Amino acid sequence: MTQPGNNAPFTEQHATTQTAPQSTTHFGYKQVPVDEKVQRVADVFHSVAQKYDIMNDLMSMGIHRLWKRFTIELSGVRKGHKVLDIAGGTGDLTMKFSDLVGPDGAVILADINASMLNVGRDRLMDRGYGNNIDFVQANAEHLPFPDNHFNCVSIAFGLRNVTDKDQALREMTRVLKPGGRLLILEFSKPNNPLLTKAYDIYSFTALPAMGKLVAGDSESYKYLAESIRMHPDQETLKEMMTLAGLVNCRYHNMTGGIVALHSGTKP
Amino acid sequence: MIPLDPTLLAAATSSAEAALNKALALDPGSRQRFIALGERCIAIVLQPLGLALYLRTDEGRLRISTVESSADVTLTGTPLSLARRVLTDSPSLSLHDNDIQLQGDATLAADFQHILRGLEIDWENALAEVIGEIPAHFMASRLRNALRWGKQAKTSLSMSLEEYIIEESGWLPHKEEATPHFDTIDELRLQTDRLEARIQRLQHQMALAAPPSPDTTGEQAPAQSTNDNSL
Repeated sequence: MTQPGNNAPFTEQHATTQTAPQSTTHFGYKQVPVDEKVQRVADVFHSVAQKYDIMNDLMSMGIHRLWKRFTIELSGVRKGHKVLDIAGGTGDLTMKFSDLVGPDGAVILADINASMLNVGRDRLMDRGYGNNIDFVQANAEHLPFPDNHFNCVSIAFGLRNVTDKDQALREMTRVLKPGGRLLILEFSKPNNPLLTKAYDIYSFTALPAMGKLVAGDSESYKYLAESIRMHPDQETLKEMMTLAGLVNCRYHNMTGGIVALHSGTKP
Repeated sequence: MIPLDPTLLAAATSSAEAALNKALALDPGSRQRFIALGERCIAIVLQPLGLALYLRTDEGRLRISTVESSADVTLTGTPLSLARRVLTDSPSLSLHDNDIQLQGDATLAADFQHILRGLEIDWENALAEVIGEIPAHFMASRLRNALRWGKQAKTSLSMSLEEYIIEESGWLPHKEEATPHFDTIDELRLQTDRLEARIQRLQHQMALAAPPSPDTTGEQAPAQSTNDNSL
């Protein structure tokens, strides 16, 4: 649900694109130039940032809180840990991590989209959080943090919006301490044909209608439904994590596979 | 263990955690005792599901998780047996229980049991947070009066019934009369039991003391002939 737009023209990914201008990537079901996807995703999140939380509650009927709760449970984060919450958006996970790490720990809420980061920062400040939280605008493909720095890195509903997912996984692995854990919470493929059919109908009819009614933007929620279908399935993402250098990679299907939580450990 | 969707487990643990923490917030004394425990973890394994719950105390709050982690003490039992031991006035949890298996720090398990059993929730304060102090006090005092009246009415009804059945109708005797009577019956039953046992013993001794019985065919033939003669 959260994250990326990309406005980092100095990245390696973009340098490659300049030498091969015809290279394209998917934006929902459309094929667009790689540079253009970054801007389009950014526009989506600029558009929905203010209504992001209420839309999450409406679209998932509140279940996203349970998905995030299980993510926190699996993180194993303790007092004094350093945690990076990539594509942290409005700070749901960051708040919980902040409680867990205590005053001796640190949490960094990173998001590439300035609008989402502003909404998240305001929300956390309003709730009295901030002592152990830093806010950083950062691209998941090029994280501005040292090697072997975090005990836990999480990315919730953000990876599918990243253009070069393999590069982002390598970066997340790089900043993890040995023994540290990467958690990827993301929409995935339902494991029941009946559920898949119902989910498709819901995604392509109800979601855009809700988006139009509440956020005044049906296109962004059409993109949400399409981008979920273009995202790698459970096994593919697990394989990608292994290729990025993580071990003990596994996943937990939630709500019949509509969402999956992948975890891996840096050796 | 039966595989359950993590969404369902998260819903269950989230509700239980919220309810327990709300109860602790309404009983500062119990909360202080939880703070004194420090950061500890109790694992509860529910049989026959094999579902493990990890209860972690953290600055007076409880966190409940289904994700495996190291625990200071592990309690294994059925939901009913565990609830009975925690919520009723049964003895403290120990290593010698038949219905609950305990591994690890038994003192922590006993402390946890005492804190939960000793919860005294300040309902008036909880109500005041929702509807304000004056209405909450009004409602709480009415509720207390109603409960007190109910208790008195129950005692009074019980006494009136007893009086009618014993004094007025004479259906049942007084306790003072009945008790010696029942004692006599008990004594008689005991004596009867003893007598029965003695008779059985005597019969057994007689059976042992009796001479071995002769051959049945050899004894019956002369007896028959005597009878024949008398006829």
